[in-house]
Amino acid sequence: MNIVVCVKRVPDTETKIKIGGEGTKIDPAGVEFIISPFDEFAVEEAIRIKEKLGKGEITILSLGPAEAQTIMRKAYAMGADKGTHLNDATECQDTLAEAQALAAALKGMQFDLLLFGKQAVDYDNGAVGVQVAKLLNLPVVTRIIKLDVADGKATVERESDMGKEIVEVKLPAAFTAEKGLNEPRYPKLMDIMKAKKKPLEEKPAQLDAPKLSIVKMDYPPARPPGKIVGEGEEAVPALVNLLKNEAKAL
Amino acid sequence: MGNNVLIFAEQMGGKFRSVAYEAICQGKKMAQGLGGKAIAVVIGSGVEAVAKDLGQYGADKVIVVDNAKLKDFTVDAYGKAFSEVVSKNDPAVVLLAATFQGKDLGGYASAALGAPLSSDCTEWASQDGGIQVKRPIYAGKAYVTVKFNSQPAVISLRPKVFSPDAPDASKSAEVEKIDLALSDDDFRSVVKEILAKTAGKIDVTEADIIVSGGRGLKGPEGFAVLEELAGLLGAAVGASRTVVDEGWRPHSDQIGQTGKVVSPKLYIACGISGAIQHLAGMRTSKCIVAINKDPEAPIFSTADYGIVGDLFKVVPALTAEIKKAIG
Amino acid sequence: MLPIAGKIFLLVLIGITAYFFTKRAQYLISLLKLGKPEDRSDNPGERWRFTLGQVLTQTCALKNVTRKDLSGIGHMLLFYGFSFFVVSYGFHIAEGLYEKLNPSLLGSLFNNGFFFMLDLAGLVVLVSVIWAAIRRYLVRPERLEPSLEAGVILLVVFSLMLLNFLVEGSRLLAEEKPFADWAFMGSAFAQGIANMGLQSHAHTLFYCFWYVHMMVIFGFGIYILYSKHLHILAAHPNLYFHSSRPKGTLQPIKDFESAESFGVSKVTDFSWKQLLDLYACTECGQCSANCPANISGKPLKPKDVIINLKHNLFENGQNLLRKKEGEEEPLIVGSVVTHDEIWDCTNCMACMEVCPVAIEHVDKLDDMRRYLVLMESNFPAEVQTVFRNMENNSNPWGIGMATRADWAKDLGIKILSEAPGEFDILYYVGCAGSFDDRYKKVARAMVKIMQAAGINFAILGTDEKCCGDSARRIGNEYLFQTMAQENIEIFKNYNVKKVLATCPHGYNVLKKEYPQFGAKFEVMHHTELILDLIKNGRIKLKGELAKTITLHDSCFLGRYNDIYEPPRQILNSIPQANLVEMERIERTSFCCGAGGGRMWMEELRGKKINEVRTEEALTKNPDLIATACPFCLTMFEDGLKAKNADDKVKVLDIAEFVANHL
Repeated sequence: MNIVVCVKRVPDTETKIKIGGEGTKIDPAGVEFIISPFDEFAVEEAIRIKEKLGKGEITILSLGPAEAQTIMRKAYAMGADKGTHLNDATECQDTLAEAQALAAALKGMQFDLLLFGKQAVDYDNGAVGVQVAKLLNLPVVTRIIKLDVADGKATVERESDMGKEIVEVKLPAAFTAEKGLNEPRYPKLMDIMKAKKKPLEEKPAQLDAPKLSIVKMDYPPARPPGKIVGEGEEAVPALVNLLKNEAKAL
Repeated sequence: MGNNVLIFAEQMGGKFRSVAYEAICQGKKMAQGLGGKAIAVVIGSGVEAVAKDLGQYGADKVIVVDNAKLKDFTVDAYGKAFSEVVSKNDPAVVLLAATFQGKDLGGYASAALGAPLSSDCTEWASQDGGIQVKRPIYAGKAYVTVKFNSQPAVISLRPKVFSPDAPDASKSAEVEKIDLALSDDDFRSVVKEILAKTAGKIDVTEADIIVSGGRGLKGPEGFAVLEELAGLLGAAVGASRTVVDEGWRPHSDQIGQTGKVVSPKLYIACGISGAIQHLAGMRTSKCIVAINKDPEAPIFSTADYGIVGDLFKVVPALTAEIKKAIG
Repeated sequence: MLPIAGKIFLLVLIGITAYFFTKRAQYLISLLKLGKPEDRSDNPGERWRFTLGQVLTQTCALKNVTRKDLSGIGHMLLFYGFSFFVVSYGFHIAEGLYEKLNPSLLGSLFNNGFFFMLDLAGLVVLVSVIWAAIRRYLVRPERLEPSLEAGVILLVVFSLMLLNFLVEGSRLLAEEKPFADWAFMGSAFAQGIANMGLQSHAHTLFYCFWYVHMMVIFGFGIYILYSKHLHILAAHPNLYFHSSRPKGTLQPIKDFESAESFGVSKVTDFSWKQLLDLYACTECGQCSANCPANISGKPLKPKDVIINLKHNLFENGQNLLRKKEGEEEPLIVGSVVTHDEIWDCTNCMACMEVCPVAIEHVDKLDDMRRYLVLMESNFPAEVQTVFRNMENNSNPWGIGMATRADWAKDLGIKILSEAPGEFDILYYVGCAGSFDDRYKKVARAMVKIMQAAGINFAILGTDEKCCGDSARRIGNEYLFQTMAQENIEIFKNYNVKKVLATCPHGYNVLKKEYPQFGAKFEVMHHTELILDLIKNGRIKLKGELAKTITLHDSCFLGRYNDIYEPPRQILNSIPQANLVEMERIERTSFCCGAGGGRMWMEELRGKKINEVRTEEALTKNPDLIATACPFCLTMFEDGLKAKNADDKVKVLDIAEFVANHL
């Protein structure tokens, strides 16, 4: 059972985003970087499958700058065996270019399962998993919340507009992980130490010129400070109005 | 170089979803800017009949792929159909709604056509003979304006941002039916079962809206007013640690530092003071409403909107008012 | 005095006793050697002074005497009395072997004095033993087990006293002795024996009683090594080898890279000293009696932890000694000491404070936590979020670290992350002060006080990081050391020499545990600073606080750092403050329940500790509860809410009291 999990290094979700000098990138100063949470579900699931089957190898693939290797080592500490770092410091926002670079690296790999997070929490496109699968001509099922593997087949559960779907697909196949798939483990210290020694291959990413470019980055309109709408029942119509029209929460 | 806009018109059970209309209206505007046609693409089973109605929203043409095998959405089959139709129709832009289906399909089409993709866009503009889009990144903490360097471009629009224009009954669209050869290989993933959304308890971690109660509810019976509001909103009912400790609510509903951490679109905190142990569990909710009789309650400094008052009066009033507002 | 046969019998007795005693002692020592090495040989002068001080003045027992529990006095009497007896046995045996070697050798004054003291000691011990037996078997306080072993020990000591008097009495009857008047108990017993008409058999009786007395004392000597009475031999070395580290500090793990395992999961993971603790335990139960977990009905009872470890050591001792390389050693984590017991501990150190023989209970539990966290990743689920939050945003709540200094906006404070500059004192605000709306008020109060006093202080701003105390106490030593080293580096970069902390956990870890990693700066708690400012007139308190206040002594301020006076003196400096004290204060203060990382865990067993303490505070009918710790503050506010008393009673930090009266 060979599993490849693609992971991305992203800013922590609590980060205060500051737009950098030229206005097209964020300022990385003071930013704590983590493994994208949805990718973490994918890594955890891969490890659980390997533990359940008692055998298998988990490879981590990451496209990103040199520091992406730190994130890969975190995946190693959870239980992945090895990995390949596709070095790219351009902070490419073209998901297709990224998918093509990942697919090029994956072409040479043998695997039964290819796992992604449903979206990377930096650019939130949620496209790379499907794009890579199509480029490799693999079937793909997105946003899974349960994954069972047996006899060369995977049975998954996923959210859909109509409720929950049970989908079956023959392996090899690709999946993107949704929250609820599992609770990622906290690595044991021994595993964190061992992770430092696991093999990590680095190669330049084969990225074509991006087909889209960033014109600029903006901040959203400032969230208005909290306000007390009023007292008692009389304030309710005003509140509902605000919720509907200002907050668009209803 | 094409100048048409190919729009995926999403349907469910043979009826178009409102996002389809949203997409078509925008697609028409885009096509006008590009000097091309707005071509809707409908994929499914038993959908031919309603296809022409899309003309009322601005579609110049509707291409239908109607096949019994396409009753349930799978990326492979729909993707193949969609990409084949699109590639034959001179696309400048491939437009979808950023729904579950739209996102999957957009990704597939992008890879199939070698087209760059921008998902979940909240604004677009015709610029320099092409389309530029604006979309949220970092969970909406910033916005990025993107221009495309090649054609076609795949764009998905955030649902409910672009309200559709009123349909013009005088307009109708030419419908072209396509027969696609679909083999088993196009259905590598098979939907075995659909478990309909269970009526009944929604888990707090899955809910988009949470109505939550604390000590102010005074007892388990107090939660009835929250349950009513929650039922109306399709929301889950959450609880602070105190009321769980008292046994008024089950532990699975507990929200806070040692309970569940949630981030719904709307969090309504009733009779909850807002000490940090509770805040730690719901602070990142998109919109926070607080109802508390103590104007000094710390929750008001975190809430976006607050009402100072007796929750037993305010919450039922809220339920009634919302019923009126959403019909 | 004794016939040859008797002398031979005595020698044989000595020989047999010596043999079994030595064998058992060797066995006990070999078990200690199963433990890891630990260097406790430093400061021999201080160690001797401590040990002799504790033992000779019986501070070990007297420190726990209260109006309700006078047993410490009983122990003192037993100790002095029985110690004297041990000296007398030297004379008995010597005299048995060679008649001339008796106390009269040192003059009749000495002889008379000796026998007077001996009889007095014997009487005192007799009465004390009866008192002890009544307590243990009739009164039955919870901390004392009415066990068979305890009964045997009491019975044996009782009989030794009786036998001694019988020996004396029968001897006095059989022979004329000049010290007869001084040996008042002996004389009384002599009279008694005579009254029973046994005068003619006095000599025979003397020999009988004498041999029986010797057999019992030698038998007891061996029994000591097989029972909990081992404490009389193990307590002294245990006191000698007490921890010379600053009070309450945990030992750092030195080597993460090449170590095979972390923490304690098996007997051989303990150090020899941690095993010696088990021998020293006399099962007095003071630890359990003062443990907030136990008092609130939780599984953790510190005495049981020690006893279970001790019994396990004895039960498995042979196997452990014979174990070969590569053989599995059974785990004690989760079996001998259960997970509940390990996680129940609030690290309050009440157990260690009252332990007469310096047993280190908390270290054992925290070492087991290290094993569970670092080796098994097996800890309460809600703690994982806390670890991640500390890793990613440097605070347990996971609030964006870029907002750490927002509380200080517009207060005119020097914020070093925005503009480095000169300052005298670094105010280490801590996570609560930075992120908890309730405690931000305390931080602001502190700022107001320092500005009023004209102190040149600064805060680190967004360069301030979580101190890591909770990570360490929960057992994540790796995370803690990462955080500590980061903080020490930042302090160095800003050339920090003096630090002020309001949170006792931050204070304790910065002051006493960061030096383990090279930190070199002075740390003050805000109550120390404020008292200083009041005493030197740099701030003046005015207005009236005509309210009843009760003060809670935080564990990490009080027991850990002996800071009891400053909060009291500060409160008493406020005009019209009416300070009423709870019963469990100062070194016996009852924990609020949040220490040991428990602030971040669900309390699923027993009664909530904070509610127990809040109830205690409420018995004093206070208007205000005073604390000097953000954890305690939160625990009391929650406790008052739970008791529906939050309208009538408010909780304030010492800084708030002072700032309100500037």
